[in-house]
Amino acid sequence: VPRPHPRALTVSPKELLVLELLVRAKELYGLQLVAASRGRLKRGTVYVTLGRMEDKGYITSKLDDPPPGAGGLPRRIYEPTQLGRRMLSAWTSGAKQLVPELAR
Amino acid sequence: MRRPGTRLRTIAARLCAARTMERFVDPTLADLQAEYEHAISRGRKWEGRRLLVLGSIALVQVMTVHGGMRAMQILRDLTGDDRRVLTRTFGASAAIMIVGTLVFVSVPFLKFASLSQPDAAEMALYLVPQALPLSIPVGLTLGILWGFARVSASRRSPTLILLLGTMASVASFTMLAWVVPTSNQAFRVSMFSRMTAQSGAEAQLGQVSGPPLKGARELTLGELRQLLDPRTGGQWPIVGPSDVQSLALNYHGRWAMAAAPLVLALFAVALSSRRQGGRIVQLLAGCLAIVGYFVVMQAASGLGRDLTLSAFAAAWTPNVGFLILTVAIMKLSSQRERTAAGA
Repeated sequence: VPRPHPRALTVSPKELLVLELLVRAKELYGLQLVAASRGRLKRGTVYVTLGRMEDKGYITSKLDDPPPGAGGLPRRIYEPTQLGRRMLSAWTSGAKQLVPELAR
Repeated sequence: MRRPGTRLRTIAARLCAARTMERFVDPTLADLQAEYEHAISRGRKWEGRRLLVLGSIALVQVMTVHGGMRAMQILRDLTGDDRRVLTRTFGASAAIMIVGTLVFVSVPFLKFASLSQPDAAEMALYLVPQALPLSIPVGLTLGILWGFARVSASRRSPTLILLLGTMASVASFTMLAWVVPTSNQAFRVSMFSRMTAQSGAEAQLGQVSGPPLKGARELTLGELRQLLDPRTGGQWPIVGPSDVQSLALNYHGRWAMAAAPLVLALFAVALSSRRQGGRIVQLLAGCLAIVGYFVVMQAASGLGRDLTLSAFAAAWTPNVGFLILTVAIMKLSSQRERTAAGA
């Protein structure tokens, strides 16, 4: 996991959503993230978001087994890193401190 | 059986870096294949086709978004010299394009219309599209030579300039294929209405009541293609019996002219890399090159019209000639650099 500079530790609403979904499910494919987000993530941009999150060190990915038969591409499966989990928890607790209604 | 997305992947692999393929293209295509095969295994053929279309659109979106972000990254990483070169190139290109467009509009405007007529602005507007395919390559070439003079930019600047050349070629193509024919015909219709209204010729002639027939320059690229196709050309109602070679020259000439901004941008980048002479010398060389390009274009068209050359060869001769010249200049420059490094 790369060690980013503190100034690079930013998180966008979409990245928070991805982290939330991944922490809940442990690991998901890109399309499963799109389906679970109920329209908030798009199939055309989800991999760009995931790529950026990998660069920031919030998530990691590995290749699934390739499908049987020639020419099949293995699917990429994503899971949160420790940094990603800590970022989600820090953001959630920070948000709850700022807006106590969120804690209820 | 070949899996869906295999051809798309082959095309993408030619355009994208390995990292882009691994992180963005392959996961999108793997999803497409998995979804498609899942739908087919359940006997849902149409659902599979719909997913193929959705997956292909997603791939285009992924590549567009990623390409945009890469471009932003390149812009952020530009050095001070790069920024200076790009600003000067864009500024000079835009200024020369505006002046060129004004000149190329005013020549036919003064010939066929006048400022005193009430629809002068409308007539001038109709003439702008036919001026742009000429002013864009001229502006870009001279702008590059102005911008790159006496500055040692990194390799990113030529890359961005060539990207700009490609965009200018796409814009020129759009103009030449659809916008210029439509605006030319609008200009002719407007002129025809004015002339018939002034002289009452329409009333006298009686039978000339419709708009003027389209000439070759007023036909869109699709219409020209149809006209040149022996299966559909004979039934075409818009023009009368025409010289097929002249129509073919017009058709291929538009494609070649659309490529001119990129070809001339490549030439200008190669010429500026020689770093010989000052800015004025470079600009003079650029002006000579542009004049040479149009002289070769006219000569090749002449050879095409009298059937010495095929329409395709006649249209593409200036571009091919300039590409050969560009390669020769680049080879000379690299030889000179090697000699200088050896000494």
